[in-house]
Amino acid sequence: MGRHARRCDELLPLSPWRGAAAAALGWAWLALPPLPAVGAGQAAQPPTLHSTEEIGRHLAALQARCGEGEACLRAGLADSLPASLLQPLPPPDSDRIRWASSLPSLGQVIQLDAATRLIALDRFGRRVLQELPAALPGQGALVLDLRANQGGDLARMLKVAGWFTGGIKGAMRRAAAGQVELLDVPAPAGQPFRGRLTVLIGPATASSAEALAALLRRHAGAAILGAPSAGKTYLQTIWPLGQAWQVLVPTAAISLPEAGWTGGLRPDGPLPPDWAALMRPRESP
Amino acid sequence: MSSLARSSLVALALSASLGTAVGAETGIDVQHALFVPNRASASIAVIDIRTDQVVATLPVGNVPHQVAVSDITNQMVATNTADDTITIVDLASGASRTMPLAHEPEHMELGPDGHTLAIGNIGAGAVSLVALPEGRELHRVTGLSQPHNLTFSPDGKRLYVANLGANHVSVVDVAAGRVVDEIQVAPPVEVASRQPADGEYQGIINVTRTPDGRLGFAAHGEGNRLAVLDLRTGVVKKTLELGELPWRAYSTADGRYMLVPNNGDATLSIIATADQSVVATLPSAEDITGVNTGWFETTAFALSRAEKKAMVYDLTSLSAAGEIALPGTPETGVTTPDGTKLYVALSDTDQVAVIDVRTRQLVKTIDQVGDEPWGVTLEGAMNYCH
Repeated sequence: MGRHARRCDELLPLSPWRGAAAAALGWAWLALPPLPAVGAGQAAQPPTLHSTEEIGRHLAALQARCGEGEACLRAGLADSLPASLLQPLPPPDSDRIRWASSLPSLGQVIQLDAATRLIALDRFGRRVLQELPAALPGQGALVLDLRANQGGDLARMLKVAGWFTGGIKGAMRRAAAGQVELLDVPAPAGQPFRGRLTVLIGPATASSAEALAALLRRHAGAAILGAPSAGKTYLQTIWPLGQAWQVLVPTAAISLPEAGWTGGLRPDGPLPPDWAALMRPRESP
Repeated sequence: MSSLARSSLVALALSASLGTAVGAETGIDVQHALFVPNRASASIAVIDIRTDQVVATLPVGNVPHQVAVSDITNQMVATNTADDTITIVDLASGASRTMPLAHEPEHMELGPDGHTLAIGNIGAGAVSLVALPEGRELHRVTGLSQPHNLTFSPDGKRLYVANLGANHVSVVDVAAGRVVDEIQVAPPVEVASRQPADGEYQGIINVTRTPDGRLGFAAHGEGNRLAVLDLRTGVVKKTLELGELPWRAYSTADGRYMLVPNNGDATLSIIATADQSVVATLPSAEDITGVNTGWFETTAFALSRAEKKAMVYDLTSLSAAGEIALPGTPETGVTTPDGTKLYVALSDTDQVAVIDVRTRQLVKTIDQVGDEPWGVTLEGAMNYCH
């Protein structure tokens, strides 16, 4: 895609609140068309997608031959997959296994002003479906900060999206091995948030976090602010190799049915400086 | 008995010897003894369930995680997770010995012969097979992925290893001491992320056997599903979609139901074993670490670590039946074999709670059990660990 080419998602109509909010707040840029920004991941070519059956056979044979020997595993992978896909597994953590401790999904939660709450959704962790609904405001405006969110479980992300969009049939597209599957956003367990929504993205925003931003732009009328996102448009299948290693194999492409985010999702505008002053610095990619 | 072994009895508080099979020197009656590993005080408290009094405290290694008891050899074994060892105690004499194993031994399962003990070394990806009478490690089975709970076949010839870090159950030939099969419980997990390795991957916690040993129920957390395994053929007979992040299946004593807490969405799935179907999905609570049943299998309790309570379920009507507030953080529980009393370790108050299963009420707490009681084990009961 050329630098100034337009993608389908850029051509979606601006949500009604954006024009009104821009006028009310004097943010003229909010009502402008999206900036022709370049995604952070545009230079990177999408990886080759592999068939899970084929890779499964290959990795099973590799593990039988190498056990957990790193050099042998890397050498064995080299002729079929980039060695960077081999990653060490974190050691088991007794408290995390038993849920005595969990990584929080939410980072900063603050009131930007009397009517606007900011929630930094940093992960799609295993408690996200408890943490997020508890933090949502009943009314007013919400800024959902995805700038540190590097993605995670796709199904859990779709459940998160439901808290803003309600249930949607065929909201996402997954393509693997020549087959296309449409994925639904499930209806949430409670009342979805229906106030004004702004989503913040940046170069670290990746994969299912980019998908969430795109879904909220498409189905919840969200304005997207910040900097272009990472542009990770594929799913990886985790293949555990014994106790110490795992291989993350690209196996499927993801997008919205209408458009994807190859080259990175482009924001509608930059982060307002007065908001930035209130927020903690976000993680860099 | 060596002086070293004698010294391990220093902390032993003796009770009067009652009944049969009472330790000649320790006074511990294995038929009525509840064993409580205290994680922070490197000891095992022994409670007589007839009096609900602590009758002995046995010193073991650091961070004891689980206890196994054999009434065949009259021995108790504790995994000392921080020391990479197990402690084997002769319950008659109190003599103890320490055996080095691999990294982080945690969960154990005693074979049906009462002699063979399987121990999962979760940090090493290995399972040790130990002969209790000789006190010898017979085999160390490697190449596993965070081996969590272990399940013997009824004849003791096979061991099913739940791999927490993977999607398959490993089948071990016990005599040969090697993996002979892998049963794929779920397809590999897909992620849409740059950083998938966050240490919260939840593969398979346990294979829960029906009492007849024909079927095994293996929940796969990341896949939100449960596989029904035909343990005779080693194939997946059926797959059930459950709630979010199912923990593991717990069997009723009669084998009629499997109860599965889904910790991701705080629900409890009830599965009828006869046709392996989900017959109820009930509201539960956060961070369920164990499920116990009793009183003619009419009642179930799900222990919520996060909310410090026991959810109560009526298994006759398959409905929620209230909750019991607990004074501390529950870890695991065990029901007496007659189904009348439920003991629950409370880690932050150093207590064991006693629940009357019939009336569904907390009736007492046993105090000063030790520092951070982590579980409860009763010979002949349906023990589990978390």
